[in-house]
Amino acid sequence: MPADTGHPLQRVPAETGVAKPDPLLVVDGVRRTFGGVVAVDVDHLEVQRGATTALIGPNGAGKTTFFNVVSGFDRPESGSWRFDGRELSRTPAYRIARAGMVRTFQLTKALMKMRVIDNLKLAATGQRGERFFGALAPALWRRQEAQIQRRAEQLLDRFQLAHMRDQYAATLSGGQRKLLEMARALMVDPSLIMLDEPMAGVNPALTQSLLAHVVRLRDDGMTVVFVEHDMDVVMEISDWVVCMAEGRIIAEGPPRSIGRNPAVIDAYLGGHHGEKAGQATGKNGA
Amino acid sequence: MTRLPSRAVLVATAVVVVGVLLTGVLFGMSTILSAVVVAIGVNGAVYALAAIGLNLHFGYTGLLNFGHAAFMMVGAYGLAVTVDKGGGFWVGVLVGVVAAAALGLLLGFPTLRLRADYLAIVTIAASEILRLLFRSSYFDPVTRSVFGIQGFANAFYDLNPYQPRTYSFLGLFAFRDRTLWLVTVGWAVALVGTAVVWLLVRSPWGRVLRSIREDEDAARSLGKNVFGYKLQSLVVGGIFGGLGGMLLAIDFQNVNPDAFLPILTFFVYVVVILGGPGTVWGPIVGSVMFWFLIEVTRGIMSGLVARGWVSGAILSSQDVAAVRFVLVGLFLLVMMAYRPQGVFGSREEMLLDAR
Amino acid sequence: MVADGLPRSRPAAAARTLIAMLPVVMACLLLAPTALAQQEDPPVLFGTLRSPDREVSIEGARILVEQDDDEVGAATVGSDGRWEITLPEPGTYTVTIVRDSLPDGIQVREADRFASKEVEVQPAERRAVLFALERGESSTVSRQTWRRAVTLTVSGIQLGSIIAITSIGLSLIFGTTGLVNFAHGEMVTLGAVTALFLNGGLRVPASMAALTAIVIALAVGAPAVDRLPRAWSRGARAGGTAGFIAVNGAVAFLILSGSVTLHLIPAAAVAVAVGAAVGFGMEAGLFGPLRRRRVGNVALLVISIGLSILLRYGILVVMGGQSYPYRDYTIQRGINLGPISSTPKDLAVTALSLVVLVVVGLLLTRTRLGTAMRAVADNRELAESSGVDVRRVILVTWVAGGALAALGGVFQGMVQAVGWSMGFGLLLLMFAGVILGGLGTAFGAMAGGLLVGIVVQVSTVWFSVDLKLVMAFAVLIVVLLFRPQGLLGRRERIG
Repeated sequence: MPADTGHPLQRVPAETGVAKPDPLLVVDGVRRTFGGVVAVDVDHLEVQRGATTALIGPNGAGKTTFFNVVSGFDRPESGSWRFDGRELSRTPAYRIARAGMVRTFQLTKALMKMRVIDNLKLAATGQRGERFFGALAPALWRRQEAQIQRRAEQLLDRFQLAHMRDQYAATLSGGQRKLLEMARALMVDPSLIMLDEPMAGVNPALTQSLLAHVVRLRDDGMTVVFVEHDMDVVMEISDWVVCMAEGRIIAEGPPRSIGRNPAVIDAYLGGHHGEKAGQATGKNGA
Repeated sequence: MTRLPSRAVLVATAVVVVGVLLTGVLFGMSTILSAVVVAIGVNGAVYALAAIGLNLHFGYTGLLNFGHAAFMMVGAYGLAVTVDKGGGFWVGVLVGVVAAAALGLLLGFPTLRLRADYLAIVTIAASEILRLLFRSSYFDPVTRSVFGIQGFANAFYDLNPYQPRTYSFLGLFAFRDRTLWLVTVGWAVALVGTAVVWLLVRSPWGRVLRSIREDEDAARSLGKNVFGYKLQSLVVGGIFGGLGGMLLAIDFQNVNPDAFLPILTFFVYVVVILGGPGTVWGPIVGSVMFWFLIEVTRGIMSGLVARGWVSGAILSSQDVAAVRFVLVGLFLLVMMAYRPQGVFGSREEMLLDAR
Repeated sequence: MVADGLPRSRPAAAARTLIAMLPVVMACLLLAPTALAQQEDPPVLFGTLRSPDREVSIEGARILVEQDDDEVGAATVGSDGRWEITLPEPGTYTVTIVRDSLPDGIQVREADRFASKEVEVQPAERRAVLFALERGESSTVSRQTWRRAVTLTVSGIQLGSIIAITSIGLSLIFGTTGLVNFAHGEMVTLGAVTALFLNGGLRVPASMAALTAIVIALAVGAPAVDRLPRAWSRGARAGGTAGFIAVNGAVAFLILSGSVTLHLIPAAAVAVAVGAAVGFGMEAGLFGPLRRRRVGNVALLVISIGLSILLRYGILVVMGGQSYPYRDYTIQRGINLGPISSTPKDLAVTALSLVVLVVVGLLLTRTRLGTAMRAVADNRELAESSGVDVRRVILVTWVAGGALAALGGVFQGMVQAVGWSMGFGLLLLMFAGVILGGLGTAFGAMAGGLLVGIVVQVSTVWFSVDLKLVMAFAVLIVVLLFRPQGLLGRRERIG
């Protein structure tokens, strides 16, 4: 299902740092160290527009740090990255988000003491009422607010959260919080959405529905990058897989090829004696 | 959502009511009435105004401003110095407002990008340093150091519309005309301030502030310029602090650096927490409650000594003031540990607080 | 709060009196009710300065009056050599002649002892303060400045090492728990005050001692209730608790009432033990349980401020608003070591502080516990996953931090005097030092503390003495702007 015929990634060779036909995000020479330990050291990476890219790798491979750097939440020692042709290094996080690259967090950041609907309404961009003096004149933003409200309610419907509309976000379950975060990110109207372990800590019963939502993001024309440990999930929904270990990208390619990649097997086996590698290689024969 | 007062609130209310009645019986109703006069008088208004600003910082944005006294001080000095140097009263008010706003920018720029604790440290340090500067001989030509500046409020009192007499209310308590004028203006400004905050916090602007309080990284990931909003909050709240400081100065008809010790900031914190941080009416309710309780406590302690029930050796009049500070500290500690949502905050909200 | 005891109605005359009295009211917030009763003229300090042979004009020399390290007034000597300073209220003041404001070649006789004088002023008193001047060696200005710089560096090292000792705990507690403990200053005060009481420098009336002892015993005893072994019978547990409270109360009473008097050295040892106990109590009785109840760091910070106010003003209630010296090592002869002039006491304190810093440094690097402490401060999760008992390490950090704070308090009390708010005053300098060095690191706190002490003192070569603390603050702001992680800290995410 992921690689339907004629998918632009089909003819791309499975090599690290390979050029993509239509890259949305291009990362060059990004390096981040913590007190001498290299957390991220990515030479070159391109993310294909409109595709779903999975970022995998053993614990401590630097996936989250990479997310943090690219989304502006952490500053690298060196490196640059372009999003839709626009240079984004040294750009503050909030501008990166406004540029259309929105991320979620591994530990969900629901705004606990705000209502679910307000969590969503907050995320809309270009709100006139968010300016200080604008805020004092409700007439200026009331119409816009009503539109935002409608959009937010549609998204709540889509993510099956409509019944929780007026509850505090703190009352949501772990899986619902993940859904809330995804819906909230969509309110920003991003072209690239970065999901940091969207399935982590979620009740298994909810995983399928979450998966469906991620798939639908791509169907809506969005570019998705997500970090995931579960190889079944990766196989099921991604068009392209990038594997990191010890801060570097050691392999990339279509999902079917990645499980056979000796570097990937080595990274999992060398790092964690098998538990994850079992999943990684298990898919090999399938 | 129905909001039934929790048992803790009921018990606390019962304790306070019984305590107040008992105080009235033991030490005379005048103890209670004079506390009411302070609570709804100038002190109540001053602290309400200052608390409106701090509530914007702490209650809505989650900023740990521990230098609120400095905002009050620069507001008061902006007014006093301007008039002292020959400027008009209203120019002075404007200068005070600008000074408070400038202090907000000055403190905010180096600290608001860092962890919340840094703001706490820098603001409390700045408030002490500014106080020491203002009282130093170096600034004597401007601030007249420890002797302070007087006589800057005449223009204000000249506007007094009341007849020069004592106004009595319900035969229970009374204000002189000048005090009543100040009380009127003070509470009017506090009400306008509350209205402004009400407008602000129910707007998308206020929504961003609350999101920053909850989780600033989340706000950032959604494209909000967190630093800019924090700075705006610090400046706007600081201006309310400055207005409170001016009111305080007009009341005393004197500004003096030592009226703006760090303990003043903590008093305002107690006001905010009493009334409920992050609520529109919290500052006003908290201020009235705070001054009522503070004054009743003082009445009880001096009553105990006056009747000879407690020896003056243990509770000297100096100790009475200090003991109240001890109680303020204890209150701050207990409230933040067990009821951070304020006396009237909902229990439900507290349960959400497992952050 | 200031308006306490003021009548709310004010006819014009009363208002004028009020205006006149307000500086008094405000300068002594706490004394408001008593001070208001007096209506005399304010007290005045004055004097005349003359060069030995009256040939050199002393015009332009500066006189400073301070109280509890806060400047109260200043004057510039006129062409006739006269100066006069009106004081806000009666009390004890320190009068200092600013040495570098004296003309070249003129100096205060035995300046290190007599450039500052402590005077007690009665209400409405006009009191003369005399400084004896002499011809100095006809030195060039630059040599004088250099000499001053050396002397001030030495006193800077002294202040800095005390700041360093007290801030190690502050920094490590932050590193291990994430709490900025505003009550750390009160640990310093408690140490100094405990030694003061044990040393016989102050005793309070028996009734006050008894009341305070009861409060202390209950405050210390209450958390002990559920710490006794569950296996004990209910009666045994109640008895144990009661016994613990009683012993605490008795000890507190003996100390406060002055029934026990020790030499300063054993008194300091006890004070350090009390400091360790206070640190233990804060963690085990308050912050630890709250953290485990998942109270956030912001709330904990406000709680520590509440605790700080509670303790600070509690100490004020017990000991009053004055400062007291210890009874030992009070009279000291100045000694000159090359360009350095100091007293044996000051030098001993400096040397001891530096030794303590070295020992602490060795303990932190050479012992398992010390390494564990730094590891937890550096990265809690990592330490935990490599098998460090984080909870125990945190407790030890509090105990050690409390002990060091108390020791620093005793040192500061020896150098200056013991007063109720001395710790809070030091706290701001500690913050400056800790941020300068890198919040959360032990060696950063040491280096930063030392540096802040030196900067604060040496800045007086070029800047007015009353801008001393401003310098510490300036350092803090510059560091935050350009290297927010501090000198030895590691760069974290910056918004």
